[in-house]
Amino acid sequence: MLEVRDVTKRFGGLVALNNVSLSVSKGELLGLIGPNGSGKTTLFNVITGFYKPDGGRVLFKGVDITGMRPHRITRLGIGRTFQIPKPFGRMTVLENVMTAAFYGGNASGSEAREIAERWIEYVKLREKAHQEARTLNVVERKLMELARALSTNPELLLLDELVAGLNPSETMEVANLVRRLVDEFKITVIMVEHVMRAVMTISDRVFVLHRGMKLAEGTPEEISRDPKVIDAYLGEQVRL
Amino acid sequence: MIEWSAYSQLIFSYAILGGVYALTALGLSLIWGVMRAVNWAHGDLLMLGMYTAYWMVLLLGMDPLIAAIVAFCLLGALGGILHLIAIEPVIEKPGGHEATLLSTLGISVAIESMALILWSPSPRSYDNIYKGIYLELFGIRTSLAEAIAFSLSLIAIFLVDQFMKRSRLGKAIRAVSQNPIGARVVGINVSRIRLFTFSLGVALAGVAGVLVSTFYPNIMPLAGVVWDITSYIVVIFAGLGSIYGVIFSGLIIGIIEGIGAIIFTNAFRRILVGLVFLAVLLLRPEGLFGRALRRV
Amino acid sequence: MRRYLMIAALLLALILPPFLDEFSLAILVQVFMWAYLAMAWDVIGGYGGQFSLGHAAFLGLGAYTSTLLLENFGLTPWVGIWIAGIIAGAAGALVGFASLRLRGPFFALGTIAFAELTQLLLTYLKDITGGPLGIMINETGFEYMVFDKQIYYYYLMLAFAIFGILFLEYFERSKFGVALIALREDEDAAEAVGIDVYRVKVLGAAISAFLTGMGGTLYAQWIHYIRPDTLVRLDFSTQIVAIDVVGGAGSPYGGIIGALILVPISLYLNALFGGMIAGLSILLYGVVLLIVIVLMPGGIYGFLRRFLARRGDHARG
Repeated sequence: MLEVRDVTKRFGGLVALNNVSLSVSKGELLGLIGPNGSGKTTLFNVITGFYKPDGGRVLFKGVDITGMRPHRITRLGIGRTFQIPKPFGRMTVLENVMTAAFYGGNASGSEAREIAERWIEYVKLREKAHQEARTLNVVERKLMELARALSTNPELLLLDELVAGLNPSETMEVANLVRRLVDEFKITVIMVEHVMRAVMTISDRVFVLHRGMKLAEGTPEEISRDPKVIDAYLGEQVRL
Repeated sequence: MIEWSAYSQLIFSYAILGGVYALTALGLSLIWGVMRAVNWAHGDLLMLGMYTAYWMVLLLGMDPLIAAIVAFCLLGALGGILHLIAIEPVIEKPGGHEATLLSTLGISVAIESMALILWSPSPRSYDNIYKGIYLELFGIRTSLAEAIAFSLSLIAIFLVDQFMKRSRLGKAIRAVSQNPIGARVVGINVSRIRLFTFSLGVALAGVAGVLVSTFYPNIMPLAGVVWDITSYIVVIFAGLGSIYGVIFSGLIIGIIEGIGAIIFTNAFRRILVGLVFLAVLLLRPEGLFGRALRRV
Repeated sequence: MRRYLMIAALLLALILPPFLDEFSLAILVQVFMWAYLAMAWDVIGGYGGQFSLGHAAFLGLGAYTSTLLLENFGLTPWVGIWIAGIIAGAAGALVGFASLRLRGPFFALGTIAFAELTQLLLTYLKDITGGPLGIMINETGFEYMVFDKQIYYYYLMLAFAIFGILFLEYFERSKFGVALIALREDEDAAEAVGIDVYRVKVLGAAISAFLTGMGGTLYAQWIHYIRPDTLVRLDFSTQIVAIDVVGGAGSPYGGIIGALILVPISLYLNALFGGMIAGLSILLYGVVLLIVIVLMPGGIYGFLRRFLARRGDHARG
C-alpha cells in the first residue's frame, strides 16, 4: 500500500533520514520505533508532504506522491495525527472533526455531521463535542485529532505518539481503539511510539529507525529479542 | 558621456543610502530572528533618531557623530520600553507573532502622530561640517557626510556581527534565534534576551537615523514610513537570518532605487522598488542568503 | 436575545434620519462606510488571520475604476461599482498570490508595499488618472449615484453595512469560511485535513479586496473628488484595521461596533484640533489599537461575549 524508497532528508548539515526504505501492506499495523531524534516524525512529514525529501520516492497504492502538497495526499487517502496536537482552537470539537469530514472526506453537509459524530463517539469524546477545542487537555486533544484524521476517510493512517503521556490503562484503551481500526474498519496504520507495551502488543510488524537509518524490521517478538535493537535502546538508557 | 556620469552619480548616491538601509535592516533582522516579531515602528524610530540629531545639533551645537551615541542610548531605552508595552505581553500567547504586527503598528502610528503634533509636518534639515566637504572618487562626487554614513554603517554591522560571535550575550542571542525552547532549557533567560535584542535593534535604527540626517534634506515625521517599507524589503531580499547578506541586499536595493530614479524620475523611483519586491516575493521569497523557510 | 437587539437597532437606524440634520447624517454615513470597509477587511484579516496593512490600495483602485469609467465613458456607478470590485479583487488575488506562499509577515509587507506602489502609479500615470490633481465628479443625479442630500447616502451606506453583517454571518458558516478559519487556527492541521491552504488564502484575499473595491466607489461618489495621496494612504489602511480589531476581528459585528465608537470620536477630534491635521485622530487609532491588542485581543465584541457568558454561568449558579 505504501512504499518508501531510499528516502533521504537533510537539514543543513544534519542528515535526518539516510536512504530509508520501508513498505507497508494493506491491512497491517506497523509499529515505528526508535530513539529520540531517529527521524520518525521526519519520515511522517516526508510521507505526508510536509517535507520534500532530498532523495528517494514515496509511493502510495502505486502512485508517486513524493513532494505532493499535504492536502492532496490527505485527499488521496492518507490521514495523520501530530506529535504535539494541533487543534483548531477556537472551533468546537465537533466543528474540528466536521471540517475534516468536509474537506478530506469530501462529505456533504449532513453527511459530514454524521461522520464526525460517529468518530467522536468512537474516541469517547461525545460529552466534549460542543466544547471549544482549546479548552481540552492534552489527552483529549490527541483523541480529537484521531477522530479528525479518521473523518478524512483514510485508507492509511499515520499516528505520531498517540499514547504518550497516558497512564497504563488509558494507554491500553487507546491501543485497543487503534487495533480495532485495523481489524474492523480495515484501515492500514503506521504507529510511531515510545511506549513499548502499546507497540509490541498490537503491531503486526515493527520497524526500527536509528539515526535516520533502518536498524531492524520484523515481528514484535523478533524485534524485542534483536541484540542490535536492545543495544540501541539500552545504550540510550545507560547514557541517561 | 555626460549622461552616464550623471546617471552613475545618481545611482551611487542611492547605493550609499543602501549602507544605511543595511544597518536598519540589521536591527529588524535581529528582532525577527530572536522573536519572530515584526516591528512596524522601526522606521519611525529611525525618524526619531533623525530628530534627535536635529535637536542636539541645533540646541546644543553637538557634533552629529556624538549625537549618534546619544541616539543609540536614547532610542535603545525607548526601544526597551516599547518592547515591554507592545511585544512582551503578547509574544508568548497563541497568535502572538501576528499580534506584534498590530501592536507595533499602533505604536508606529502613535509615534508619527505625536511627531506631527510636536514638530509639524514641514521638512527640516541642518547644516554640519560633513555636509559641506566633498570627496571625489573615480569621477563621482559624494559628500563627506554620505561617505561617513556609509562607512559607519558597515563598521556598526561588523561590530554587531563580532558581538554576536564572541560575546556570551551574543551567543545567547544566537541560541535563542535558533532554538528558543532549547535555549530556555540550558538556562538562558529568553525574555531578557528578547528585551535586549529589541532595544539593540531600535538603537541601531536610531544611529542609522542620525547618520542619514547629516545629509538627508527632508527630516519630517512621516519620513519613517518609507524607511519601514524599504528596510523590510532589504531584510526579505537578503533572507531572514543573514547578517552580512543585509549589506549586499541594502546596496542592491539602493542601486535599484537609483535606477528607478532614472527611469521614473526621482519622485517615483520607488515604483521600481515596489515592482522588484513583488517579483522577489513571487520568485524567491526566502531571499538570497536566507535559511530556506520550511515549505508549508 | 441577540436577534431582538439587532432588529431593534435596525429599526432605529431606519427611522432615525428624518430627525437628524445634514451634519449628523454625514457622520453616520461615514460610520457605516468604515464599518463596511472594516468588515470587508475582516474576511481575510479577522477570519483568515492574514493581516493586510495596505487595504487602502483596493479602496483606491475601486474608486479610480468606477470614477474613470464614469468620467470617460459615462458609465453609471451603479454598474461601475461591480467592475471596481472585480479590478480590486484581481489586485487582491495578485498580491495574495505573491505574498501568501510562505508563513510570516509577507502578506502584511506585500500589501503595504503594494499600497505604496499603487499610490505612486496612480500619481505617475497622469494621462490616465489625472495624476496628483485627481479627478472631480461633476455629474449629479440618482442615476450617477450622486445625491444632493445626505439622507440618501445614509440609506445607501446603511444597506452596505447591513449587507456586510449578513454576508459575514453567512460566510462564517459556509464551507469556504470554515476552511479559512481552520487555517487561521492552524495551517499545518488545515493542510492535514485536506484544505488547500494556499488557494483558500488567496481566494480570501481576493474576496476581501473585491468588497473593499466596491467600498471605494461608494467613497468616491460621496466625496466627489479623489486624489492618490488623500485616498491611498497608510492612514486609511490603519484605520480599517484598527476599527475592526477594536470592534472585534473575526466576527460579523466587530466592524459596526468599532466604527460606531471610533469614527465619531476621531471626527470630533479632527474638528476640535483642526489645525493639527490628521495628527490627533490617527493617534487615537494607534493608541486604541495597541491597547486592544495587548489587553483585549478579542476586541469589544469578544470581551462582551466572554463577559456575558460568565454572567450567564453565575446566573445558572
